[in-house]
This record gives sequence, C-alpha cells and structure tokens, in this order.
Amino acid sequence: MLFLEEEVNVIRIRRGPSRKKEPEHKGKQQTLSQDIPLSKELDENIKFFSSLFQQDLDVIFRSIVVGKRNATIIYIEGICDTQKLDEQVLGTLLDKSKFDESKGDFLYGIEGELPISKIKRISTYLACMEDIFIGNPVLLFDGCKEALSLGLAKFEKRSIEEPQAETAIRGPREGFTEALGLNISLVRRIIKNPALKMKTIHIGKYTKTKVVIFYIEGLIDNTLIEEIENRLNRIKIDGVLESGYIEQFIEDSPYSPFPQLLYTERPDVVSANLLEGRAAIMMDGTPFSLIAPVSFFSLFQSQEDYYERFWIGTFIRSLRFLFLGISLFLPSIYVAITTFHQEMVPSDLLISIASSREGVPFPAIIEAIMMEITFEAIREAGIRLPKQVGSAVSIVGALVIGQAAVQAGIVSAPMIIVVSITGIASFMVPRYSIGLSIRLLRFPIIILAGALGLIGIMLAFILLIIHLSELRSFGLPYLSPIATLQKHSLKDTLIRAPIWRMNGRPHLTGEFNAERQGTTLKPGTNKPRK
Amino acid sequence: MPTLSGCWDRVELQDLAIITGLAIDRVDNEKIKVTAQIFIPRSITSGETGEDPGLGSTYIREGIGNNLANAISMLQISIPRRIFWGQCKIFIFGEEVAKQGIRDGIDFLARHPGPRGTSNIYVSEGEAKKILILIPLLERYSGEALKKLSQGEAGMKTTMRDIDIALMGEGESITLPYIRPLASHDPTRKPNQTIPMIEGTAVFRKDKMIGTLNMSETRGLLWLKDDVKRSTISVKLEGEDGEITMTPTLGSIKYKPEIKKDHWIMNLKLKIEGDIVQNETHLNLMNEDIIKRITKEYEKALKKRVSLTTDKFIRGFQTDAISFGRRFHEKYPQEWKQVKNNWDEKFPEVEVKISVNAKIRRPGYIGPPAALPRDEVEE
Amino acid sequence: MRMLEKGKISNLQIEFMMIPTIIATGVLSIPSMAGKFARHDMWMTPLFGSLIGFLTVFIVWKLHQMFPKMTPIQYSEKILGKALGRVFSFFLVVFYIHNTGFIIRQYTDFVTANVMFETPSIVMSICIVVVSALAVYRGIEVVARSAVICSSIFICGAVCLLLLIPDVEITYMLPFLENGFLPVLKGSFIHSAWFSEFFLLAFLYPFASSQKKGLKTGMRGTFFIMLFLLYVNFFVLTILGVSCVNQFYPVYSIIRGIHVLGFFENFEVVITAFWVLGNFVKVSVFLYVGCLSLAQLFRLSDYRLIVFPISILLIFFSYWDIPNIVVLIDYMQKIQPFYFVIVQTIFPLFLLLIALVRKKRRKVG
Repeated sequence: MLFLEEEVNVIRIRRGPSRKKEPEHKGKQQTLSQDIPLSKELDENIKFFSSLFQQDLDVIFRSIVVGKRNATIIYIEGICDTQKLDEQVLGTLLDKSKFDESKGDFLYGIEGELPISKIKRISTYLACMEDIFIGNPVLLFDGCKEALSLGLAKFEKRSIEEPQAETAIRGPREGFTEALGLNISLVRRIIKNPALKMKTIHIGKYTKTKVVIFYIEGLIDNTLIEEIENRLNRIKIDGVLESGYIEQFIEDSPYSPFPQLLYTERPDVVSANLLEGRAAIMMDGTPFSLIAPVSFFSLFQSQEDYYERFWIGTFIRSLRFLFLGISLFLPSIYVAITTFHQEMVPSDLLISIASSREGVPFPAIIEAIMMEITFEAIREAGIRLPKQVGSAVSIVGALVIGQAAVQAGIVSAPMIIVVSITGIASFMVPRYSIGLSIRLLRFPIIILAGALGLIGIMLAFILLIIHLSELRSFGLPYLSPIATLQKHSLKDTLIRAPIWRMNGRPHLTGEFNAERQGTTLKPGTNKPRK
Repeated sequence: MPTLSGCWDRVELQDLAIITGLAIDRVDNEKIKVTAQIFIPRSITSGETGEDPGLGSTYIREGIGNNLANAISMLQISIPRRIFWGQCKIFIFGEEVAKQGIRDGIDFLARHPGPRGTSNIYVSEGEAKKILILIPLLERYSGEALKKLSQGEAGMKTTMRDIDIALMGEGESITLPYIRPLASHDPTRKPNQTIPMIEGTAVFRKDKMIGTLNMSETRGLLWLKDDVKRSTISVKLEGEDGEITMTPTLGSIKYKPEIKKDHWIMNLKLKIEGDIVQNETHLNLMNEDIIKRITKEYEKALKKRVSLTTDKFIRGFQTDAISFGRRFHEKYPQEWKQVKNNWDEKFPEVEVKISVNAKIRRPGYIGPPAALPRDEVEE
Repeated sequence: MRMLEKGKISNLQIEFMMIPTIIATGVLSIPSMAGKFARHDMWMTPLFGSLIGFLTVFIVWKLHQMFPKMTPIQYSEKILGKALGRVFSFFLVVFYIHNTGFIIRQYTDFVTANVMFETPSIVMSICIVVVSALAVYRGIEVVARSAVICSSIFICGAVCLLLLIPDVEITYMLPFLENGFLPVLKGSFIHSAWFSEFFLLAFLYPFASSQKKGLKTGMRGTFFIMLFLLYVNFFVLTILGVSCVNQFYPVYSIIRGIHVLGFFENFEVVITAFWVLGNFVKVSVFLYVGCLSLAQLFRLSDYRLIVFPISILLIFFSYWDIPNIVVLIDYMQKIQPFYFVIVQTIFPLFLLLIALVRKKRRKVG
C-alpha cells in the first residue's frame, strides 16, 4: 500500500508545480505536543505511526509474531544498530519456543529474554517518537499499553582526533566529537568522582537537541546552576545547531563585543574549569562545549601554561598580554605618532619614514584602514580556500601584493610592516572568540587615533576599560581578579605562579571550597610554608 | 563628525619641513636674520637612483625680522610646509648677535613650545649661516656632525637648559662652544664639503659675549666642569729628551670653598687616572721610580693647565662662568648673602688653590721604549 | 536613609581610586608653586603638607565611625539640624561641582598647551567629561574597577622619571634650610589644598566592603601620595635647580629631557597619555561625588538622572571662570589652599566636634 501511494505522489509532482497544501498529510498529522498514550490495539498504533512517517524511506516497520501476539518493530535505518537488531532482538523474538503467555506480565518476560543492556518501557506516542528519532527501535505489541524501547542507537560518528582549532604542543590530543555520549565519556574518564553531576535539558522544537550542564557538586555555587538552567529553559527556538546559538541566548550582555562564555573542544580544558568551580555546557551535534562563568583573563589562559613549568608559563603569558596590546593598538599608535606626535620618533627613524611616505597619496589613517581591511579579507579568504590553492594565495597576497603596492606608491613600507606585525600579534591569542573581538575593535581605535592622536587612543582605552568594568559573566565581574583585586587569584592572571603555590580556588567561582591543596607541596623541601 | 573633518592637529609627514639646525645672525644692526637648515626626505631614496650626493640632503632658507620670533614667521612664509621643531637640536648664534646679547633669543627658545630644552647652543665665528651650508661627508647634515662632536672627545656641550639655569643662578655667566668650519684641504672635494669644528669656547658676561678661550684653555674648562674627555697631556722630565704622553681615562674634580676671615679661597681637588700612550724618552716605564717621577710631572702639568683657565676667568675676563658663586652659596649661605649683589667685584679676589692626585694605571702594552736596543734603555 | 548606590567596593580599590584623584593635577604645577616659597628646600614640602592629609583622614574616619553608611550630605543634617545641614550640604555640592570644573580646566590647559596645540580646548573638555560621565553613570563599581587599571598604568608611567637619574645634580638641593623653616612651611601649605581633598573619602567609605579598615586605607593612601610627591619634587629640584619656579609645568619640562640610549627621546607624549588616564579617574570620582551628593540633597530617586545635566554644566564651568593660566596659577597659590583647607578640613572638624558634643549631651541627658 505504501508503495503505491508513494508512486502516485511522485507522478503528481512531475506533472506540475507542487501545491503548497497536501491535505492528506494535514489530516493525518497528529499534534505531537500532547502526551497521548498508546492504545492497546496494535493496528491503531501502526496506523498512527505510518501516517506520521508516510513518505520517509528510512523508517522501517517490521512485523513479527512473538509467541502468539503480533508485534511490530519501528526503527530508523541508519541510526540504529541493525546488526544487533537482527541478531539479538529478532533472533530471540522469532524463536517461538520461548515466549509463554501464561507466565505473568508479558513484557516482563520479553525484557527478561532480550540480551540488550538498555530497555525502557514507554507508554505515550510522544515518547515513542522521541526514541525512534534518537535511533532506538520501538517494539509495539498487540494488546499491551506499553511499548519497549530498545537501546540500540548507533550511528556513524567521527573518531576521536586531535582538535583542529586548539592545538597544543604538550597535553592530551583528544578532542570532543559530535556525539554527546562520547564527549561525556571523555570527561568521565578524567573526573572519576561521584560529585560530577549532570543536568539534562532538551532545546529546540525541531531539533530537540540534548544539552547537558556539567558541574562538580560542592565546588560550585548552586545559584549559578539554577541561573544557567533558567536561562536555558527560556530558549524557545526552532532548532539549535551549534553551541554558539545557546551562547548567544544566555549571555549577560548581548551587545558587547566581548565573549562572556568560553568555548573549547578539549576535555582537559573542560575538566580544569570544572575543578575550579565553573560549569560546562555540552551539546549533542557539536564538539564545542561552553564554560561559564568566565573572566577576561581566563580567555587568555591556555592549558599549556599549566603543563609547562612556571617560568615558561609566566613568560609566554606576559608575551601574550604584550601582543594583545600590540594587536589592539599598534596601527593606531603608528597613525597617531606619524600624524600628531612626530617628535616622538627618533630622528633616524623619522627620516626613513618621511622618505618612504613621500609620494603616497593617502593620509596615514586612510592607508591604515585600507591595509587592515585588506589583511582581514586575506585572512578570511584563507579560511575558505581549498587546500591546494591556500598556500599560493598566501604567498601572492602577502608578498607580491604588498611589495607591488609599495613600489607603486600606493602604500608605504612601514605601514605594511605595522599591519603584518599586528596580524601576527592577533594570532597569539589562544581563544579564537576573543581574537575576533580584538580584530573588530581595532578599527574604531584607529579612527579615534586619527582624530585626536595619542589622546584619542587613551580615550578609546578608557572607554574600553569602562565597558569591560561593567561587563559581568553570570555575575562574575569580567575584569576580576585584577580590577577587583583578589590577592590570591592574582597569582594566576598576568603571571603564572608555581603550581605548588596556587592554594586557593579563584574568587567567586570557587569560593565555596576555597582550599584547593595544602601548603606543603613545594618539591624538594619538607618544611611547611607559613 | 567634527573630529574627523577637523582634526586640527593632524599633520601628515609629507606636510612637514623638518628643521635640523637654526642659525641666528644680525643684519643692518637692527634686524635678526634666521637661517634654517631643512631636511630633504627624498634625498635618502633618490641617492639610490643616482642624484648627485654632493648636493647634500639639506637646503637652507632665510627669514629676516625685527626679532627672533618675527624672523621665524617670515621664514615660514617662504617654506611651503609647516616648520617642525622636534628634530632641531642645534642652535647657532652668530658672533655679532652673541656680542649684543643672546637673552632675547634664549627667551624665544625657552618660551615657544617647539624648541626643546635639551638642544645644544653654539656660537660661531663670524656669520652663523655659513655653518649650516656645510655638507658633511659622513653625516647627513652638519648639525648631526656638530652634535656628535659635542659628545665626542674634545667637545663641550651646553644645552639651553644649562643656559637658563646658569643665567638665573649666582654667577650669571655662561660659556658656549665656539665653532667654525673646518678648513678642508682635499682637492677632490668642494670647499663646503666639510664639517664645523669646535675651536674653543665663547665666554659671556651675563648674556653678552666678551671673549674666547683657545683649545688648551678649553681643556682646562672641561676639567672645571667635570666633563673631562680623552684629551692628552704631555710632560717633559728634567734632564730627559722627549716627552711622555698620557691619556686620562678617569678624571674628576671636587670643589671645596673656604672663607678665612674675609679671604675667599676655592680649593680644587683634581683626580686623574690615565694610561701612557707614547714615550719619546729612553726611560723604561716598567720601573716604579720612573713612574713616580712621571706622576709628579703630570700633577704639575695638570695643575698648570687648570690654573691657566681659572686665571683667565678670574683675572682676564673677571666673570664667574665656572659657577664658583654657586659653590660658595651652597656652603656659606650667610656670607654669600652679603656679597650677592657685588659678586662681580668680589670674584676677582678669589684665590684658587689646586691640588692634583694623579695615577698612572697602565704604561700601555709595552714597558721599555719600543724599537730601542737594550743597552740604551735607562732605568 | 535610603542609599542611592547599591554597589560595593573594596578598600584596596578605594586606595587606588584616591591616588590619582589627589595627584593627577597636582603633579603638574605644585613643584613650581612650592618652589617659589621654599626655593632649595622645596623637596621637603610634601612632608609637611601631608600633615593636613593625615588630619583630614582622621576626621573623616571619626565621622564615619559615628555615622556608618552615610555620606556627609546625610549626616550633616543630623548634626547641624535640618536647615543648617541642608545649607551646608548645598554649599558642599556647589563646592565640588565648581572645583570639578577647575580640574577639567587644568586638564585642558595642559593638554592644549603641550600636546594638541590647535585643537580647541572645548573639544578636550567634552571628551573627558563624556568619558567620565559614562563611567559614573554605570555606578561606583565601574568607576572603581576602571580606576584600578588606569591608576596602575598612571603610576607605572611615573617610574620613567628614574631614567633621569644620570642628570641629577644633588648639589642643587644645597644649601640646606638656607632661610629657615618658614619658607618650607609656606611651600607646604600649597600642598595642603590637594591633601585636604582626602575629604572625598567620606563619600566613599559608606560603600567600602570592610568597614573597619577604613583608617588604615586612608593613612596608607596619604603616605603613598606623600612619597610620590617627594619623589617628583626631588627630581624637579635636582634637574632644574631653582629655575623650576619659572616654568608652569616643571615636571613636563624634565620629562622632555629624558634621553636614554638615544632611543627613548621625546617620550613626553606617552607620559602625557598615561597622565590622561589618571586625570580621567580624578574627574570621574569628583563627578560621582558631585552627582551623588546632589541626588541625596534633593532626595532624588536615582543619581543617574542628573549625571548628564551636571556634565554639561561642568563643561561650561571649565570655560567661564578663569580667563587664562596665569590667573589659574595665582588662584592656586593664593586662594586655593585656604579655601580648600577650610571647607574640607576645618568645617568637618567643626562637624566632628559638634557631633561629639551632642553625643555627650545625649549620654548625659
């Protein structure tokens, strides 16, 4: 029957433009928001489901006879483990000798026979549909009000590989994948304490994405968890495709250019943050998980700072802040100095710059903005290029265009140097999200520098600081611990204190269990630190 | 967006005229002529394309006005770009202007926000303009050559701030380096392809120039200013032929003013340490006695050199350009108050007592005289 | 009484806020003004000037202990009675707003005279007022946090003076106490105008997170400012000698002379830029105090409503009153020390005494 109907539909489509309304579908679609219980009659259930999945090629209905009853298995090919279904389920069920009606609860007997680790009883249409979409086959029996959902979901997923966006020299090379179950298992492998808890929420009308909030009980502020849950429950949209959607719905200040949640692909980063009293939000379908709450300085920490020894950690971290300043301010400083404060430049340098700027038709600020935009364009284009063409374009873009532009007299050589150094500096930032914010903020600062010189840059800096000071991420002030001056967390922001000195958890996230480790952990000595 | 369209202070680099030196002269006995040495940025790049390097990388422009400020605004009229003072570290006063008084010029330089307090001031022999038309062969412009000479071996440096402090201070006299173009005898080069050279010192009473010191007196002056460089001192020992020359490596001076019953004495304690660089005698310098004799001679020579200069100031010019007054003030404020207003008359009565402590650190690489057979060496 | 501000700031933040508030404009001209009286001994003047600072902090602390969580506007009514208290509060408010105008004027004068020659000063006024108003609008916490960062940078900029050590001539400090102590004291009195600004602490203490440590905070701040001014005066004296009294901005002149390794020349613009940050803190703290006081005086529901009108008023104030810098320096030398000390130290002293007397009377009666 289904076959014929499908053929008929196909022919109809070929004849003319498809009509918007398909009355047959409309009539038979049930509204799925209601929790309608299954009926005892198998035929009714099958009629409902087949009308629902009328044109779906991959929804398979397999009718069998178990013992003396009729039964049907409904499953979606492709996300179900058909091998196990054939061998373990159908194999057991079709063996007529096993099932005896007389021995009490029929379903109980079935459950006892099926060698499957996860079986659930469901009793509503809604639950059946959810399970079918997850990939669990649903076993419907004639004469039973409940159905069995078999945990045989299996689908092709990416194997665990090194995260592409967050490479590290030292540290585990595992990254999350798109399968939530796998990601949870990766975290479980690291934190083996029953205090690790999860809360599950489903978001998205059409995608029904499973979202999990991770936290370590006892380390975290319970009001934070409630707040996160409330904000997630507020989200009522069609579908959630990436954690970025969630991030944009739950952040405190949506108009701010700065990210208020951190995202990461690495289980060790997630675990480290959980141990400091933060919460992690993971989602099915994307390897990127979110961490809340987050401060400006934690966006500048990379996990490698901690795996290396503290001198190196401090050095690299300080370098990072230096280059943050450079990537934000260098073009503006160049514009300000060459147009307003020329006396600052040492005379030799001034003469060289003056000579190279002879003949350039644009004023410095226009030149700067032009070159920055070009650089951004090259950078974005480089992401989209297929690998074969990528390297050629970078060579062409950087060297040839730059060189040719200088010789043609369109831009001056110092400007090219400034722009390239800025570009390199912006790659020093470990988290891509804040790197993007900084790239964006460069432009208004260049404009202000062109208007008022170094004073303009300072005004821009003040405005930036004011904005950062009022920003909060789930209640945590964005500029803590520096602006709020918590002494013990200062050890971990601009410098990286030795690991045996970091005795307290960071303020406002880990305050509830502030003692992290003892004071006698310095290697090589047995004396307790005062 | 008024800020973007206005940008009042914004000046592109191509719109700046970078001044590298300024010469101030007098014309017609009333007006001031100002000559600016302006840098040509294209000279750096066009040098590669083969323009004549003999033209130099600077050119000069003049402006004439009633006073310095007026002259400079006249100068600006003849320059299409805006005058940029930030790199100008050399100001040269012509001899005429110096004799009439530099106070007005210094006032402009101190008051105007452009010129910097750490620029060097010089007095040139004759007209100052001819210093600026010189084209040095090594440096980019003559101002740079002057600056390097000032910091170098025999040079003297006076900044505008020094003048300000000195003229305000107790002695109210200053000394400035006296320069003139170095005569070039190189037949392959043009006569103006040379550098200015510091030939001596111009001595001022208040702000008017009253005379000069020659090179050897200037060396003494450097000692008094505690600014000794590597000039050489030669001594001749009694009974020996030839001289032994020493270069100081460390030199310092300590002032000790003393007032004994209305008799004002300035004690100068000099300390010098040096190496011997040339030995014209036959003496073996590895001998300790000989070194002692030489040391004594050096002390005498240095004492003579410094007292030559102090005498010139006290008895010759009779102006306190060596800040004796300040030293007396620091130590004897009460007595100073009484003579403050007549310091000009009291100063020539000051007696100077010099004591020198010399040390010869190293007699050089070799001990005995070089290239002399053993038996001629005297011990 | 209702608190219009619900934020809380830590004591360390208060210290960071007070430091540029006091010295940002002071560091410009104080050395030359003090030098006019004290000549060679000008480096000692901060030592004695700070006495007023310690006294003011002590008075403020005592008043705060008696009336915790109240600003002077609120407790002056309690001490002096409703009518007189309101008059006094009104006078305080006008005093602060008027002075903020002067501060902005000093700022724009300095910047336009030295860095931006052609920009009209009203543009600079507008910029700094807009930025400070933004900070104040967001609340004391934002002011405090941004102040921490800006002050740290401002103080780091002061370290650059160390680059001048090769140019220092200690003999400029002699003769020692040539004219006795009196000129030194006269010079120190100039400082007291700035030190008495510690009265602003009275407006900040109610928001401090630790109410007990207030005295230590204030004293530490005064001590640090004294050291800082000592450091600056020392350098100005030993590099410029007594000729520093001729200059309007002696600190700026000596910074112009920094030359290290032939590279660090002409750095004064960078130091000016850092100084702008310090000035921003000063203007925002003053503006905050002014707005909060006015709001409390007129029992407004929120002080944010008046931030904008007062900012415009400030721009006008900075333009009107003083025709040029000569008059400004004259005012700062002759009038300001007396004016400030009377309002910010003597009047609170009276308040304290009256409050103590009243308390005793209440205990007895």
